[in-house]
Amino acid sequence: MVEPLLSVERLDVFFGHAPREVQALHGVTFHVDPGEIVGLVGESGSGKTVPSLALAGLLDPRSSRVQGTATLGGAPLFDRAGHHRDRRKTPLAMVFQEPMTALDPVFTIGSQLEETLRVRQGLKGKAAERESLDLLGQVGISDPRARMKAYPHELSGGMRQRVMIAIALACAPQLLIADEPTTAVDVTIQAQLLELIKGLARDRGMSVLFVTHDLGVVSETCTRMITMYAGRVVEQGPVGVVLDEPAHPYTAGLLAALPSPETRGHRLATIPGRVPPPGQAIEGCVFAPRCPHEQPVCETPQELRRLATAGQPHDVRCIRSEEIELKGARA
Amino acid sequence: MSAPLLELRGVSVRYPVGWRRRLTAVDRIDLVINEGETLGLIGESGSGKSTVARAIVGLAPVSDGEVLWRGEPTSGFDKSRRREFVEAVQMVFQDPHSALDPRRTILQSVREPLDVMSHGAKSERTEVALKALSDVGLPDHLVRRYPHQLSGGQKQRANIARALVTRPKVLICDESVAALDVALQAEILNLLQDLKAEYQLTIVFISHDLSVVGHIADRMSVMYLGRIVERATTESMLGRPLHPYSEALLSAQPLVSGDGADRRIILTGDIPSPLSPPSGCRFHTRCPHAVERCTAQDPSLLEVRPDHQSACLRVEELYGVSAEGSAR
Repeated sequence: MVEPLLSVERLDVFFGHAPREVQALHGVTFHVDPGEIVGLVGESGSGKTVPSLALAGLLDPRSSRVQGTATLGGAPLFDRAGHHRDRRKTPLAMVFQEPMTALDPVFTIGSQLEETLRVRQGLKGKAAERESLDLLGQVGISDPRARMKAYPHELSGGMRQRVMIAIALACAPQLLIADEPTTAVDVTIQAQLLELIKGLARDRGMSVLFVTHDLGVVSETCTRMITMYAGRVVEQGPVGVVLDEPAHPYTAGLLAALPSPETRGHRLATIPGRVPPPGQAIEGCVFAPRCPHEQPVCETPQELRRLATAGQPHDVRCIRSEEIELKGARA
Repeated sequence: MSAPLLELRGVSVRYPVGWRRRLTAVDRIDLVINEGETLGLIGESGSGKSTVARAIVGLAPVSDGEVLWRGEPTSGFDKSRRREFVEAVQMVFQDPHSALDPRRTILQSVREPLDVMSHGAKSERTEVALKALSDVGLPDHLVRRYPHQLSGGQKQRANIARALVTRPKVLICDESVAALDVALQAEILNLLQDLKAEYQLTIVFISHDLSVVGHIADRMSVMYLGRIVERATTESMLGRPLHPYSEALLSAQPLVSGDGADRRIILTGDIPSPLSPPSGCRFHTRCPHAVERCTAQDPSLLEVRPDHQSACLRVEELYGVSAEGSAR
């Protein structure tokens, strides 16, 4: 058994202050193995971005509180008070959805890259410049020397996202967190970026936590996936297994809602209702109010449990998953 | 045969940029929209698909060509015909939040088109607006709220209701589901199908998402850099695209079944700037099949199969179909 690179145990995140404090994450437990690409999926409001922010140390300690443990490469990320230890020393980097807002508009690409290299790797002057050129080359930017002097607005969306990835690589990460990195770009550019991220993970032995709402992207990029709902993990397992035979009605609902040429002329399946806002007290199964398979047994709180199937572990937070028939992607 | 409901004949949209320079966003395109159909318009950002929509409703200046409504050019309409046309063609925008006035209630915003057109008494207008709001499935208790109090899906429903109050014939949806989650997107797509039947609408659906267009459209047109490069029925297009750009675009779509990765054609680079479009075939700079003559000759859109047109010089060599009447 491989030692996981990232292991998150019973992570709780709270926002605000008592008595109006709300809980955004409820005992989130998952791991990422070395070199693995794991997808984290859910609707907006499902809490899929919060674990990334917590792991990267981007939550403001004045307005949020973290409980639980997380280790990256064996080193704990949080101290006992739940404060992030040092986000500038953690071998972790993050790529965001909107490259235009993530890059600073008044500095050149080169100076933003070199700044990261200076802070994270202590590189200066010529060494930093050489490394920057190398990184831009690695992310497939043509004519890196000219691009170093360019400002973010002079680049296209796809190029900016490549620069973001280069800056992330300047942190020499063992884990790259990609939060909806391809949502703001066209499909043709998305295809280029996914190929790039997959290639970098392979060549550098880097792990990727891929946060997205696009199940197609997950299917083609990740090896394992985690479905989140209302701040909880509701299902996790190998991508092929989860998409072909989903065990949680929520995962199945997301799959059924996808339009395709085959669904033409038919109504799409929808998930009635909305994701409950954080802080709303829920008795029993969190998904029960929107679930088409809800029964009186669902009134008891559900724990994540391992399904008795061969092969890789497949966990689900549904008491009825063995009884109900759920349609997968290939059905 | 009667004239189609809406037709674009050689329409170009040019914008002045700087000293004596002009940007051609849409370049001499022809488009026919028949009554009762759903037409999908796809392409990357920068392809000019939104400009086409704006040119139809008169939000973008038409520099060349004509927009025809039931066979008559809209440019020659007098005030009353113009008003009739404006009422008949309505648009739903991409971002549901910025399309609504933050200082007006949902009901006020939805009633506004009728207020502007001063249709009937105020109570009647309110009545019509309420009916439209209930048709789009927005609960009664929400209609007197402000946009910020509604969720994204509810706001998009309100936008659709506003487009419906004038009883339009054509609804132009410009990326209307792009900002929504899958579950919500499914709800809005279902709603559009229902409304289409109920209001007997013709829909022009603009999107960059092929799976959405494939789900909703009867016919589709693929745009690249201000031109239509391929046009066909949805079956024919998705079954076998006959232009390298459509082929690449189709293959770039990630699929949940996971078998997209093997046949993927990855285009290099970005869409070129419309300020200096490439010579010859505009796609030659990114086309995996480009040869010498693609840089010199500008292909026109020709019928290659029944109901299937493609603008590619090498269509015969690449796909084994010949362009009829190849008078270039």
